Amino acid sequence: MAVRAALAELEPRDRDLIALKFAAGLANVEIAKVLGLSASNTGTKLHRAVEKLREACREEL
Amino acid sequence: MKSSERRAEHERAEATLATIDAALEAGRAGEEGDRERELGQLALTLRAGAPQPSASFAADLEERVWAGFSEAENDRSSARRRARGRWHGPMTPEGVRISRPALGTLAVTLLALVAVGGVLSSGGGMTRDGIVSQAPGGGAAAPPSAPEGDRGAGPSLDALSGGARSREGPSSGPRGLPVKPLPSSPGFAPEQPERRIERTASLTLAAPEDRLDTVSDGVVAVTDRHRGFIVSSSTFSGEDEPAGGSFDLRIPADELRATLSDLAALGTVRAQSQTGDDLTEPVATAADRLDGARADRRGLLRRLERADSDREARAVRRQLDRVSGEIGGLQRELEALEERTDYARVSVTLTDESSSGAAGTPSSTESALEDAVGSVVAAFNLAVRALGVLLPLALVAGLGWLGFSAARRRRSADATAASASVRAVADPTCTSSRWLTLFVATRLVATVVAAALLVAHPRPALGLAVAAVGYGVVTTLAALRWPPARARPAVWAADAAVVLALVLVAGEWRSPFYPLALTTLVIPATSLPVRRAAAFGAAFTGGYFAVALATGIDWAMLRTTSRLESLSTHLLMPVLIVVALAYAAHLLASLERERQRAEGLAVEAERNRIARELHDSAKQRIHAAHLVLSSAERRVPPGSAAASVGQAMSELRAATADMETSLSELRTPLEGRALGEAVRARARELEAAGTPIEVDGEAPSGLPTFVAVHAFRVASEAMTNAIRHAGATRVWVRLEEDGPGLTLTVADDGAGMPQRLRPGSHGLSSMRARAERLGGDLLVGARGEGGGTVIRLAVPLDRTEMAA
Repeated sequence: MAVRAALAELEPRDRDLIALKFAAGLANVEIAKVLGLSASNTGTKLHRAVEKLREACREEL
Repeated sequence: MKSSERRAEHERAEATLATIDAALEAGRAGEEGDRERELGQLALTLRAGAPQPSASFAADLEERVWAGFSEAENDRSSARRRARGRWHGPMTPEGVRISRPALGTLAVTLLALVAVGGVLSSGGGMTRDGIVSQAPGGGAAAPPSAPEGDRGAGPSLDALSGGARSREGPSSGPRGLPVKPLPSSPGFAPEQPERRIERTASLTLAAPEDRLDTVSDGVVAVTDRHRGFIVSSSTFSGEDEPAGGSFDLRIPADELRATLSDLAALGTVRAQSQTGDDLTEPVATAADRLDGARADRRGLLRRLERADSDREARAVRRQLDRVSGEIGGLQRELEALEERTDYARVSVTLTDESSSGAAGTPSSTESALEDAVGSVVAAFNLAVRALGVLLPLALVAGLGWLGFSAARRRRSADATAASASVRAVADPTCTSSRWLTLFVATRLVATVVAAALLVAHPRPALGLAVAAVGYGVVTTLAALRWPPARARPAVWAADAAVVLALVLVAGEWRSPFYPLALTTLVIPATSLPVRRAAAFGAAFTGGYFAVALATGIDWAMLRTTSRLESLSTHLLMPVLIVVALAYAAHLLASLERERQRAEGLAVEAERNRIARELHDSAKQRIHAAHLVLSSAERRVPPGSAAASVGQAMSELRAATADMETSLSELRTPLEGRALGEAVRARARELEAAGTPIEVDGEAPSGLPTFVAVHAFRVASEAMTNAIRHAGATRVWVRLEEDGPGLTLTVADDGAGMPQRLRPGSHGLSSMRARAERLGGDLLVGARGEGGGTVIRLAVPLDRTEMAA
């Protein structure tokens, strides 16, 4: 699965971010608290991780 | 990174997040642009692809998030919230709440009975003291009354009382006690002139001090006149001590009455008492033994005469010596006894009238006080005895009233429960075998006990014993072979009535049939709800008390603790047994129900989990496919290929929608609710779309869970189809009990059948599949006037499948 492969290539930190966001369904603020980041920082990181994934999926196709 | 760049990125991040959130929220990708769509798809794929955490884990994670970073109070409150949510409280059996006042009354009553018993046993022999003592030997208190007196003593009595009164003088009130007439001699039972009674009498005379000597001489004279003798005497006089004297006399028994009369005439009688000991038995025994010993001696003498040898003669002589010694001892014994009964002991006390005059008032006050205390004590005895019998009856009546009034009040609310319980009893498989075993065992044992007691009685009542055995065996067999008979209250009442009649015929309330009577309570107690069972027990006790009254209760015998306790126990036992059995039966039945429900829920949960897993993986693949297709769509040049791709994508969208629908259905299982309730809830959910849905009727109670689940799915599917695909404006749903079976009907006024068969829709076929699995039929047809469709699911049910 392209998505899975792409996920595997992410850094652990980013994977956690993805997991907390999509699997556990936490909100940004909550993820920020868990990871000990600021909310905006979390948002930025998340944005970057998702973009990476999107690129990876695209490339595969 | 420069701040402007940072800001730009920040904005982009916000946009991304917004898109992702929107997609997750809506459950599908947005259409605004490629990027949005891709992001949305990606988000959905990620969500679908990641293993769903269990709800508890997610909740836990959330809690930890908040707990880790918020104040201590939040921590405590969330912990408390968590605790409250997870603790379901102890299982209280519904409908059975013995109110606390009733329990308190019961406890107090039992304590009171115990106290009563204690008082009675200690206050048993109350009436012994001083003033009037009864002569024992008969047991009954023979109230002294003039007619009972010996005719010969009549004139002397009158003279006596006249004399006493004249001595007291007209000015002062009577200070002496009236002389009580003595029991007639030679005994209480004139027809048995051989009674030997040892009598003792004591007399206290008062006289003015200067006359004391005269009175003393008078005592001596009277004694001589009546052929008695003085064992001892003493007089004392002095300045400090009150003057007085005492005499110990022996008077021949037949002269006793006359002696006492004469003595009483000497002065003012202050106190008098008599006791008698019936020595007839010991005397007779001693005489018999003496005769026996003498006969032995005669026999031995004869043997001695006939003795052949020296040795034998010596042996016989030895025995003779022994017997002679025995005879001597017996003779002495007999003489002593005869002496005791031939002569009565009289002790006379003289007191100074003036000194005792000063003490006279207090003594009469004392005696009056003693009188008063005596009567209070007697009244108390009576009251306590009455309580001992009335309290259990009151308790029983109270419980009975509680039972009847509660049954009346909750008749409507209880209707289903009561009919369910009665139906359960009528169903042979449902009368729990354990209670039947209890009934059979106790009835057989009680029958044997009754027969044994009747046969072992001094006056055996064989006829009754046979009747008891016959009745017990017949009823046991009937209970085993004839289930409907077990279930009717009329039968229970008849059973109890027959046994109570047997008690009546047997003639005493402490009957050999009592255990048998108790066994008539077993089946009602375990078949009825607790309060009705208590009412039944109370009615039984009332009946038993009536029988006891009819056979006669010896109220005087209740004076002793053991007798009183026996009656109280007889009255309390039925109610206690009934309540205990009824409560136990109720508890066991609700435990069984809970267990079945838990089982059903467990099965359902398992099935849901499996289905959800399947769904999740299917959804994941669909999303992935959508993702692939959407990026492919961009690269395919417009044309037929592009059109195909587009069609594939719309199918995938529809498939996603279908999955969502069915998944949402999975997420609302029956959850332990009744079918009717669940269908109504689902209808309310679907009504949100704007179409009114009418739900009518109820499913039969005791519907097996798997039937209910499939029927629910069918109903849900049918309602959904009617609204979403047939465009109905009204939907009707009906649940009916049809014979032993369920019928579900869903009708709508929509577009009718052909529209419903969307490509790829497996709605009808899945409904048919469910119907088949239930062993029923699915009928689909057109509704007559008004157009639309009718779907009917008919499932026959075997009676034995219905849960009790």
